[in-house]
Amino acid sequence: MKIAKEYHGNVLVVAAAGELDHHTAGALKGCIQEELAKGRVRNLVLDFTGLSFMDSSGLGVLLGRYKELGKWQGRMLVFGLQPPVEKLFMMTGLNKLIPIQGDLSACLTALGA
Amino acid sequence: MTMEVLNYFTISFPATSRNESFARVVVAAFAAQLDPTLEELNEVKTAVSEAVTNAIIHGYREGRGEVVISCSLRQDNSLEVIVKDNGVGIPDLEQAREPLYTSRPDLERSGMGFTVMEEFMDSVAVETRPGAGTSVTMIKKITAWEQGGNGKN
Repeated sequence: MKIAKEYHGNVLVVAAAGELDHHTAGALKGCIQEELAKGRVRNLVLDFTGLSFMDSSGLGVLLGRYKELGKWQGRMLVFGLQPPVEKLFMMTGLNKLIPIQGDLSACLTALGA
Repeated sequence: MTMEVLNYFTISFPATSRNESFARVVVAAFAAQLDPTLEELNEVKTAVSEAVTNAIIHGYREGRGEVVISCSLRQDNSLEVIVKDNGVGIPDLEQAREPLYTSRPDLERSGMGFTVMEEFMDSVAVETRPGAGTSVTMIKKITAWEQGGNGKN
C-alpha cells in the first residue's frame, strides 16, 4: 500500500493506493494518527482513487478514525471509489458516516475549505 | 446432495497477514475458470480475505499456525471455498456472526467479517470447536455465459 498526505488548510487529505486489508490497515492508521497527533487536522478527506481492494479490516480502521475525528466534531469524506470498494461502503452503510464525493474539490467545497 | 467436482486444489500457508492477499489472489485465479464477472471475482476475493483474516486474528490470535484452503469447481458452475484453521475455535458462533459484533474491539475490528461473507457468497457454513479450530465453507454460484442476460459482456 502506498500512502501520501497533504494539507488544504486544516483539511488532511490522505491518498491510499493498493489494497486495504488487515495486513495494510496498520500503516494507514499509523499515518493518519501521526497527523492527528499534531493537532492541526480539523477534517479528513480520503483519496481512494488508487485503492483496488478493501475488506472489513479496512472498515475497522476507517471507523476508528471516524471516532477520533468525532472528538472535535471533525468530518470525514471520501472520493475516487472503485466499484468493489464502493460496494463495500454501500453494503455496510459506511457511506452514511463517511459520505462519498465526486472528487477532491467537491470534498473541499463540502467542508468549506 | 453430491455435486460432481470438476476441478479442485488445496493449499496451506502460515497464518501471517502478508498471506491474506496471496490467499485471495490464488482463489480468484482458480475461480477465473468459471468465467466470473469482475464483480463476482471481487466478491469471492473479499469473502476469502474475511475468512483468512478471521483465522489469523481470532483462530490463532496472531500467533503461529497454519491456514488451509480447499477449493473446488462444481458441475453447476459453483465455487466452493473452505477456509480452515486449527486455532482456538469460536465460543459463541451465533454472537460471532452478528453484524458489528467483534471479540476484539481493541484491534479496531469492524465486526462485519461474517456479514460481508454472507452478503458476497450464496452460502456460508461454519463448523467450530473450542480448542480444535474453525472451518468456514462458502459456496458461490457463478453466472454462466450461455444463460445470457446476466450482465456479462
